[in-house]
Amino acid sequence: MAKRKDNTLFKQSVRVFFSRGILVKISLAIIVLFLFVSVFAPILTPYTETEQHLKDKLQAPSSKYLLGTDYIGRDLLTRLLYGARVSLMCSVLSSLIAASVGIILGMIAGYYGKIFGSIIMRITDAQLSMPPLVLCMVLASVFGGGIIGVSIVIGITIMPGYIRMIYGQVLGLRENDFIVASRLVGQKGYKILFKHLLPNCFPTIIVMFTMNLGTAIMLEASLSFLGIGITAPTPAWGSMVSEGYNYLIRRPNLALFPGICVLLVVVAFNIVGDAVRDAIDPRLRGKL
Amino acid sequence: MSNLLVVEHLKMYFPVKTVKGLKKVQKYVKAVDDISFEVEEGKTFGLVGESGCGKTTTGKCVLRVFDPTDGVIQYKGKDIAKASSHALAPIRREIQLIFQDPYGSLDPRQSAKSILREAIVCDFKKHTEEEIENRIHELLDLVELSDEMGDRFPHEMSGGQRQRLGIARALACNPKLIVCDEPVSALDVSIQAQIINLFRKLQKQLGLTYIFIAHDLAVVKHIADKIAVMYLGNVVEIMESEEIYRNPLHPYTKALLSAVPITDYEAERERHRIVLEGEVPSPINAPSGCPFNPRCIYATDECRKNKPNLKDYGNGHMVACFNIKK
Amino acid sequence: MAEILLDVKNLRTSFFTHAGEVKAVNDVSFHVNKGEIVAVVGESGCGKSVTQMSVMQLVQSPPGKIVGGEIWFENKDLLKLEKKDMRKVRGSEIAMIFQEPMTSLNPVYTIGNQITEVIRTHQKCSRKEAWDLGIKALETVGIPEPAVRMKSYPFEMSGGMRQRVLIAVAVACHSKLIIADEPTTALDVTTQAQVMELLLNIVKEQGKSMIVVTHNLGLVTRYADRIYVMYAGRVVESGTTKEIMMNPQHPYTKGLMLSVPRLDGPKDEDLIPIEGAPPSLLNFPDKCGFAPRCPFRNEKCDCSCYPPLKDVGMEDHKVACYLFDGGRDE
Repeated sequence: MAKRKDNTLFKQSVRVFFSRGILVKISLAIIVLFLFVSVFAPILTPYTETEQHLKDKLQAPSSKYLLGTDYIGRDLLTRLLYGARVSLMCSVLSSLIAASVGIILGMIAGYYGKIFGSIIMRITDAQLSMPPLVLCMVLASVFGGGIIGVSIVIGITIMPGYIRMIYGQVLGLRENDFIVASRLVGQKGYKILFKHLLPNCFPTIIVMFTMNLGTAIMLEASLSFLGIGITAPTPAWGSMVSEGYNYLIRRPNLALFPGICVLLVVVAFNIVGDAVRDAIDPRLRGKL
Repeated sequence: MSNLLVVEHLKMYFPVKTVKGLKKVQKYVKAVDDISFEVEEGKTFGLVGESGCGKTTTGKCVLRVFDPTDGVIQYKGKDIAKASSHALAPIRREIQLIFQDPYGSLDPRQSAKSILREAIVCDFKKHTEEEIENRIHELLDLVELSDEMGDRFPHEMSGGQRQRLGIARALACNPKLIVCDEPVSALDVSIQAQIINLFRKLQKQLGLTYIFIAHDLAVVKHIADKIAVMYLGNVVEIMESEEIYRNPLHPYTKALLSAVPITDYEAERERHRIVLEGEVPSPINAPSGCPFNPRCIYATDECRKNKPNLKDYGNGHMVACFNIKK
Repeated sequence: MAEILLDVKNLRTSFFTHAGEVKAVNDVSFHVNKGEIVAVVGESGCGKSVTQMSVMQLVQSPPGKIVGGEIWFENKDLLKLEKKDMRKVRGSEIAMIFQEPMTSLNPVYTIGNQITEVIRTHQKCSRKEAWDLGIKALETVGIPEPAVRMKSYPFEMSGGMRQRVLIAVAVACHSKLIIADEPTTALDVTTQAQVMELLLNIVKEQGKSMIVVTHNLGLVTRYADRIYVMYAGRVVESGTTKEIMMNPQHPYTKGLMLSVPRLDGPKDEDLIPIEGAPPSLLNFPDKCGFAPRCPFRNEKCDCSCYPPLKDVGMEDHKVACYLFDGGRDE
C-alpha cells in the first residue's frame, strides 16, 4: 500500500474535519455526550429506569429528582439516560443493517445490470411505493419489540435509500475511464466493485449513513410513540414523548425533554456527517 | 516487419431507436462503416479525423471495449473480433489503452503506487512483495517520474505527470500494442512535447507498436509512420506520414490540411485556403455513396451513388476517391 | 495614425484564497487599436483569460478582485464606472465569446429566446423587432434557414453551429470590440477554420476590433495583427505578428515555437520541450516567472524584481527579459 504513513493521512483528515466550523465541534460534543451518558447511565443516576416512586409521581424538577418524575413516579432524567442507550443502539444497528445489505444489493444491480439489476430495482421500487409506517407496522408484527427486532424493522425500511443511491452512483462510475482501465489490465469484476467503485461511493455512503442515523432515531421514536416500537417498560425517547403527551399541560417536561433529545441528536448527526464527508475527500486534504 | 494487427471490413453500428410518427424505427449510428488497415509491428499507425469520424470507436473495437458488429481484427494472426472473454484472457494485457483525459483515467482514491500495483498483479502470477516494489520503481523510472511521485494521489499531480502515470500503468502489463486515444490533447502545449518525446523513447526502448489517435495533424505526423484519415466512419486515405503534407490526395485530406494553421508566418499568410462548406453530417443519416460527397467540390454523380474503395496510387498510398488523376 | 480603442494600463487582479494570494494578472498593459485583431497567447494559468474577464469586470468576487490599474475604453476608465453603466458597456460596446459553446447557451431556452433577450437588454425594441434582428444576425453568421433555427434548442445544434450562434449574439449588438476567449478550442479543425474565417470577415467588414485569447500559435499567425505573449500573469513579449513569429526573442516564446510539432517540420527529430511545468501563482515571489525553466538563466534573473519590458528590434517589439537589459539583443 501507499508508503505514506496512514498516520499523516488520518491527521490531515482530522484537520479538515475540525476546520469546518464551530457547529461541527458542538455537534461532535453533543454526540460524544450522549454516547457517554448512554454507556455510563447506571453510574450517573441513583435510580434505575423502571424504579417507581408512586408517592412522588408527576413532580416538578427538584434536588431529589433533577428533571422531575413521570406519571408513575419514575425519574425522568434516569429514563432519558437509559433511553439514550436504546435510541442510539437502535439507530446504529438499523443503519448498519440497511447500509451493509443495501450497498451490496445496489452495487450488484448497478454493475452487473440486466436481470439482477431489474429484479433488485423493481423490488426496491415496490417497497418504496408503500407508506413506510405501514410497512413498519407489518414488519413489527413479525420481528417484535426488542431492540434487535425494532432495528431490523427500521433497517429494512430505510434500505431502499441505499440501494437506489448506490445503484445510481455505480451506474455513473462504471463508465469512467479508470474503471475501463482496470478491466483492461485484467482486474476481476468483484474486485473492481470493492477496490474502485465502493471507495468512490464513500462520500455518499458516509453522508447517507449519518443522515440515516438521524432518520432511524426519528423512526424509532415514531414507532415507539405509536406503540409498535420498543415495548414498555424499556425507556425509549419516542414512547416517552407519547406517554408525556397526556400530561403536556401539567408537566410539559415529560414530553419536552425527550423530544429535545431527539432533535439534538438528529441534527448533530447530520452536521457531523457533512463534515466527515469533507474530511475523507482526498481532494480537500491538501487544500486547508 | 510483419503486421501485428490486421483489420478487415470492421463495422461498428450502434442501434438507436427513434420514433417516426407513431412507429418505432430502428436506426443505426454507423460509427465505423467498413474499414480495413494494417499495423506493422514496432511502428506507429496514426488515425486522424474530426469528431464523429469513428477513430476512437475503432480504437475501442481493437481493444474489445466494444464488440464489433462485423469484421475481422487479426492480432498476431488470430481473429479477436468475436472472441469470447475467455479466449481473450491470455492476450488481454498485451493490448493496452492510454486515455485522453489523464484525470478521469486514474482512480482519485488511489495513490500512484497503488494504481501501478494493481496493474502489475493482475497477471495472476505469483509475485513477491520485493518483485512488485522493484517493478513499480522500474515503471516510474521508465516514464521519468520520481519515486516520491509514487505516494501522490492524482489530484496532487499535474496533467503531464498524470499522463505519465497512465502510460506507466499501460506498460505494467508488458503490452505489445498500445492504443493512444488523443493522449496529448488535454495537456498544455509546453508539456505536449515532453510526452510526445516520451512516447518515441519508449517505442524505441521497448519495441512497442502504437495506434495513435488524434485530431491534431502536426502531432500525428510527428509521431506516426503511417497515417489513416477517417471521415464519417470511413477511411478515406492511408499514406506514409511524410506524404500527408507533401502530397495529400483525397479532397478531405486537402481541406483538413488547409484548415490547420501553421506557424511559419510567410508560408501561412500566402497559403491557399480551402474552407469547407457545411457541417459533418450525423452518422445516423450518412449520405449515400461517398461519405464526403455533399461537401466535396469535385463530387460527381458517381460519387453520390457509389462508395469508392481504397485504391493504391503507388508506394502504399491508398485513397478512396473516384476523382484522383494520376 | 492608429486610434486606440481599448487601453489597459498596469492591470492587477488577484484571487485571495485561504492559502494566500494568487496574482493571476500582475501588472499587465496592452492596447487594441480600432479595426485590428490582437492576440493574447499563453498556456493555461498564465492569466490571459482572467485579464479579459477583468476588462469585462466579470471576475468572481470573492475570491477575485481587481486590485489596481486602469482600463480606458473610449475615454472612460471602466474600473471607475458605476455598475449599471458597466452593464451598458458590456454587451453593447464590448462583447465576449466564451470557449465552451456547449455550456454558454442555456439548454432550456430556444436560440431565438436567448438572442432576443440579449438584443432587448441593449436596445429598446419590441419582441418582434428583436426577433427579426436575431434572424438577420443568424444570417450574418452563415446559419442556414435562420428563421427555423431561431426556434431550435441548443442541443439540436452541433458545436460549430452553437459557436456561430454565440458569435451572432456577440455581433447582434453592434459592439465595437469583441473579446473571443479560446473561441475555437472546443471545435474540430475544419469547423475552427470556418468560425475563424467568419469572425475575420465580420471584424473586417464592420470595422470592429477583436481580442483573441488562445494557446494556438498557428491560429495567431494566420489571423492576428499583433501578439501579446503572457506567462505567469505578466506580459513577457509583445509586437506585431510578423516580428514575433519570425523573430521571437523571449526564451519562453522561443521555447514554445521549438516545442510545437509542425506539419512542415522534419519528422525524425525529437521535439525540444520546455523542461519543467508552469509555476503555481500562489504567493509567487516578485521575480521573473520563467526563470526556473529558462535555459538562459543567469544571476540577474534570480533577483527580486520583474524584468521590465524593453524595446528590441523593430516595430514596437518589446520583451521582458534580463537578457535584453540594454535594450538590444545579446
